[in-house]
Amino acid sequence: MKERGTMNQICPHCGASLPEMAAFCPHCAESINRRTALQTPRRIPGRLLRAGALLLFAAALVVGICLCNRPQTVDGMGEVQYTDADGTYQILIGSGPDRFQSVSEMSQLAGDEEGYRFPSRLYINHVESGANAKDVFLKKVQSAEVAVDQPAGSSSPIVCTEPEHRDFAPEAALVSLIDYTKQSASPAQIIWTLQMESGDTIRIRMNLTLIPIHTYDYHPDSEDMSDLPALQALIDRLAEETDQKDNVNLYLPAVVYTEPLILHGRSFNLIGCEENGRRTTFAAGIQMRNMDGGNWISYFTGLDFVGDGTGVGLSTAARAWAKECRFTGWKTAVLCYGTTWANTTDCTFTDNGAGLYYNAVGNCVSDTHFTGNTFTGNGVAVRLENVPTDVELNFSGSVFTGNETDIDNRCNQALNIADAVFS
Amino acid sequence: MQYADCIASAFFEVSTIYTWLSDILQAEYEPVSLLKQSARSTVTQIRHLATGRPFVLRRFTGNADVFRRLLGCSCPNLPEIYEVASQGDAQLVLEEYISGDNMGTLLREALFTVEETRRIAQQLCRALWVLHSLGAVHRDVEPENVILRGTEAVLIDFDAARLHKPALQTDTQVLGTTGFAAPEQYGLSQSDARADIYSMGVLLNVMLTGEHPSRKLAPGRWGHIVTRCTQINPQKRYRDVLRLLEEL
Repeated sequence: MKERGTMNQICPHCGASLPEMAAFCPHCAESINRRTALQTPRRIPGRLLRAGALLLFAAALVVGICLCNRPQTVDGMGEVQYTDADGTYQILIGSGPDRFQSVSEMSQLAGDEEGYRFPSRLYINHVESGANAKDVFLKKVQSAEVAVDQPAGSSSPIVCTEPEHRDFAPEAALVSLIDYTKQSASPAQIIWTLQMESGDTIRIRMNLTLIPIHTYDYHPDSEDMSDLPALQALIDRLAEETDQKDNVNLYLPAVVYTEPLILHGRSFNLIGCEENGRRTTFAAGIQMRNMDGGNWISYFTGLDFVGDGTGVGLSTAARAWAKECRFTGWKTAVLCYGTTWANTTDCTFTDNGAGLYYNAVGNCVSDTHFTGNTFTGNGVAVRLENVPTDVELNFSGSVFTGNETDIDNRCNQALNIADAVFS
Repeated sequence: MQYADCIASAFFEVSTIYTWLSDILQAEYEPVSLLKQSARSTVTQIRHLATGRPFVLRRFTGNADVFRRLLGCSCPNLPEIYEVASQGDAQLVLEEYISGDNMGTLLREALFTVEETRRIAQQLCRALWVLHSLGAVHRDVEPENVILRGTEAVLIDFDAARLHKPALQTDTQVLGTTGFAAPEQYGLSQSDARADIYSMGVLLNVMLTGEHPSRKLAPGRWGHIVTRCTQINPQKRYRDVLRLLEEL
């Protein structure tokens, strides 16, 4: 279960989990963002203003001449304002696509994956017009760098990539990708430094806190997973007892489950095994229900799904990823529906009515990889009725053999089939 | 970790709050009444089931930058914007429901006194200053969009508000309310903050006389202020709302 989402903000009023970008908790109907009270500036009467202005002008002239040639340093948390001869700019660090939303404090979850990555985006807005001033401003930047100030002696230091333009963040002037692991020490501080051609220095900082998440492993020798009722009872209990952000791995025995398994409430990683020529097999399929807003991915690894020509092998309304699974003899082997995303990699689809069937909408994407699959003897190997977003699905390394129809691309999704094999 | 992860994150961030919020609004809130509906927007009063708090839910297609900028601000003369979510061109805005007396309704019964007019106009200028300082133009300042909540006047309905874009020669659409909208909003030149000053002038006149200034101008110094606000040439109007506020 790799952390994909940003449900890592906690409502200070009711304790509900909220997306990082949320400004409001809809559960308790309370605002959670900081607000600045805006008041009109008080005007000084014109005559006083004019007299004062004359005096100030003389003083400012003297001071200005002294200062105008001296490089300035602008330093701030989350964002700064910087003024030069062309105007005033709002320069900010953002974590999302909103170029006006600065982030000075960020929390990220860290689990047991090899590594985690998130983008730190630098946005530059023209204050007066609100226009995106990245192109104009970058011409005046001599160098840009990102550094991480973190506790000394960390066994896995947080690192960042060189700032550069990234296609996935077209509004951002520059993006640096921040990499960390569960062993990385925090709190840390991400520091963007812009060295201007004029000699000025702009420094923007963001505090980063890493929150470790726990992994729970369940094995057949400690938990009863011998048949479907026992497995379902365990799933139901874990859905109640564990935190959504934690990892739950179930190492299943090499048995045949003859009733459908219902997954709900949280994500689960199901890992199959092979003993004495028998593999973990689901003969009535797995139904994965909507996770009520959860964005965690359930991974299915090394499982057999064997049908009788009817039904669905894996139907999912929540994020799923099947790896090295075998789907045989289903009306539909894998069905992705609702507003979610499912990946299949290194799987085999054999003698199904439809192999991979996508009928989901929205903007949810987990990953573009559909590589290494083998589709053999299916009515339709891949049917794309609706696919969320227009990202390109990568079928590199997949093999299509003896299917009546290889790919039925009804929604005209962009596909990468350059390295796929059709025979 | 692959490059595709970054792409995925970008899409995920865009869609998360919209779908997440839509789902919760459907489950934990109930519609109370449809306030406004047009081809591009629906404005509904909704209620939080657990607390009974009323909110305004605005769904529309187009640009939500104005609302997004107001997320971090508070002004007693503007409704608070609680959340803004986008999915492609579809926008969802959750904002404070302002309960009080609608100025348009009140004007059908009686006019406002000079003192009342001054106090309300000053408050509306403060609301407009906030919008203008964020680079936005309201473009629909009229009695029906002013709610009197105790001693505070609250300017509502930014449905027509757009960011001021200096590079444009003319606006692409005619928005606003006929009679209160400045001439340049009909395509003569680009609307900027001074379009709101024109509408403020008309509003002041209607509060005092019940009539559009072209039919009956407010007497004395108020007439002078209204005339200055409603100059055809925007450059002859008050330069900004702070100047108008000073004059009031």
